[in-house]
Amino acid sequence: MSEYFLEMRNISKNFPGVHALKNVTFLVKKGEIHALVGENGAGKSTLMNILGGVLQPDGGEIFIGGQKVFIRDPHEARRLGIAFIHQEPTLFNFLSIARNIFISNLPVSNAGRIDFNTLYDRSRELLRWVGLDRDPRILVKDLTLAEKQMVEIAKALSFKSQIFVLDEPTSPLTDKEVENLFRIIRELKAQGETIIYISHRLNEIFEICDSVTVMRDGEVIDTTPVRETNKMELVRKMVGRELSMMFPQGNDRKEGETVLVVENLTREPYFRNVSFSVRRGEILGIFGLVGAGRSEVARTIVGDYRRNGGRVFLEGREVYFSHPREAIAHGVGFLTEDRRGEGLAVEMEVYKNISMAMFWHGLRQGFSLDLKREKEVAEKYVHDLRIVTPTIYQLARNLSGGNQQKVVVAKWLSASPKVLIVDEPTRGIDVGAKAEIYHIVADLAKRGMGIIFISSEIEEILGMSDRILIMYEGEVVAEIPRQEATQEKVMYYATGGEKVHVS
Amino acid sequence: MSRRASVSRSRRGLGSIFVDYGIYTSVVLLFIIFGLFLPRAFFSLSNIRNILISASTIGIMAVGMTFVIITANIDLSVGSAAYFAVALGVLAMKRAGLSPVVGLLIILLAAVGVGVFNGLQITRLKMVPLIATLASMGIFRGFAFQFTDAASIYGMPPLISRLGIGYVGNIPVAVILLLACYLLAYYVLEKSRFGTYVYAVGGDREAAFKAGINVPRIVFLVYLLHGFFVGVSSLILCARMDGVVPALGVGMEFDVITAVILGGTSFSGGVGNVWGSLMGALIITLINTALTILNVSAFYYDIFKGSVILLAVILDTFRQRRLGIVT
Repeated sequence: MSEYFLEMRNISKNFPGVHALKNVTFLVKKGEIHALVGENGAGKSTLMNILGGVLQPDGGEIFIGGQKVFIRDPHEARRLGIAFIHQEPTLFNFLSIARNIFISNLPVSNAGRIDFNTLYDRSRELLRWVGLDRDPRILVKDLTLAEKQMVEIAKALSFKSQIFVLDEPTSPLTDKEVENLFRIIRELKAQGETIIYISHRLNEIFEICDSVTVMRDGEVIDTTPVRETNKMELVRKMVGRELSMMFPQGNDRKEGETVLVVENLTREPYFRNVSFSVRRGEILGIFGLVGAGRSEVARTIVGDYRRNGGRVFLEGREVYFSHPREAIAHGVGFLTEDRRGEGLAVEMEVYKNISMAMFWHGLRQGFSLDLKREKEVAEKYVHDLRIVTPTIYQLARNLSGGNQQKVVVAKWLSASPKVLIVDEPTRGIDVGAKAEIYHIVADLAKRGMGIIFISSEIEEILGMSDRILIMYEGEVVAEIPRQEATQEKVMYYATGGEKVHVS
Repeated sequence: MSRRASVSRSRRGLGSIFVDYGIYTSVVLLFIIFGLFLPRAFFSLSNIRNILISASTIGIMAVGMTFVIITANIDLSVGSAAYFAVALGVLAMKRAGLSPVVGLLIILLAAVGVGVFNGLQITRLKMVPLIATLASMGIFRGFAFQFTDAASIYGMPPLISRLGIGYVGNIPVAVILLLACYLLAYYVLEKSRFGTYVYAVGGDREAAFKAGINVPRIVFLVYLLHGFFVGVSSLILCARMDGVVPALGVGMEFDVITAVILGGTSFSGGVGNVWGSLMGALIITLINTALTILNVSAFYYDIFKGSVILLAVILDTFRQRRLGIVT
């Protein structure tokens, strides 16, 4: 028998257009706490979802305790003793705590009746263990986020498991609750159970884990014992690659006067007291890991989310957008990260997509629309942005990811904004198209537009931005000019290194 | 200042009490209001008994519909399913000369069959429930028209008649069936593992899948169970009509869905209970009865019922907002 308890060998997984896992081999010893780290999109969650039976691999083998296993659904994963604590709670708000804990193995007596005595007794036991002082009969909807997380953990403990996967379990927890969670993890380890711990908080990894595996771009880079490495080294491995030549070289942009100012913008629970400004011709990068609040800031500026406090100034005048439509009308465009869901009407023609954002002021002609101009504008952008499509009448869904993204860019350009916010503009598109998008964005800045470039890919943030704002857990923790920014430095702040202001 | 705050809080309290328990108070209020404005006859024992008997058909269908809507699905085909089932059963007894017991079983099985058909469309073919059951609504009424030549056929054997108009002691059989169905549904929904899964599937499909619940299987079983309740309701309809009439069950989905939503089950799924649906069925029946007694024109009748649906949906929206399902 091999020295490893869990072996995932040569696992590969493809999503349309993305090679999410490339021959990944991930090995975990019995009874260790094994950290899994990597940038967003490195493939950690995909790998764990395969272990949890949520996704099926395209290739590769999995062995548990030397036995080859096929995990075809979450039910099978549970039978094999794999307990999964998901990043986002998988609880049912309108069921009681007890029923949530035992949802997968409700104790049943005769005639299909739930054995309530056993259910409540065992729930109380588990709640005591995880340190949650609540009546198991109350509904989950009445709990706080942190309490829900504890229920989630109780759920994972409710059946005999040998492998516990914790995917970012501490994000909603306070320090005290994190300590409590670590106590539980240590107890599990003492019982000889195996734990896989995914976290962005590197400090936690050094506090509790035995080994650490770094993933990057769908591959395992390295596995080492935690005591033989350090934070800087981990960050270097996570970030890895050299800055390629993908980005527009040489900054010949002239920065103009300030166009957008954000002061103490707050939207609970996502972010608070966020302040920054953008000049004409400048690209301001906003970097942060999942849950840092990057996208939410953008959504709040354009009025998709209501703000709790703070002010926004456009060209010196205070503005309040209560709907993205108003933001467009005032010249603030927002390119959303969810291209297919929100940015593009995939069942509509290319030209309709491009003209969509200008309906409100650009094309109106009395009560009707200037349809001829609509098509002229579309033709112009298809040409300017080199959108590869047979005609402007092609349905957007038939275009490649990169060309779809260009259509979305064209849509915002047709509304001729003064400020353009781009949120993860290159997600899920191939390398060539990425480079084109970078050049288009840089070109827009050159023409005097103020750009806010939001991304969780450290490489493009460094390649594109004139200034980088780093967010961690809803706060701006650092602001670094391009010349001083390095991958390590940015990653250091983004993983909660220290809250200092570098200027 | 603080007094004003407390006043507004208590007002909000009353409002939310109405949203939560309004259904029970509404039944009582409606009854009293109708009693005040309507002739004596309304309060008579026989009329109350009649209201309960009438409520039984909508009420029993509402049981199954509650399950369906809790899983965030819908069924528009209940009226057609009832007509189809009754038509088959009546033809079996009157034309083929089969025994009443067989006829009864055919009615039940035909309704279950429609439920299974809907369930398969939705879980296997991945059809949107609204469209799938809309299709069934047309298909099964069409079949029933074809089989019966859209004619009325009367004359039911005593075994069946007793279900609709018979009594055990002083209590109508239909009312006993109604209560039995609700007790059974209450038990299944609140006390069994299956019921917990029903809530889970409606509350969060993805999470239910991750918890290892076989989501399509639960949805399929819900439609099957729903078909059974439609079958029981069809038996009572058949008995009360003393056979089959072409208009049987027309527009019934309207009443049944309204009853369920009035009763606090939410279109968004995962929330609801059967007792609310029973109250909803009573309200619908009270309104139907009152409008009949008042001899209101058929046009007003539709306007009034449409408004009740509107009210039910508005209540549902308020409820969802308060429960934080939508913001």
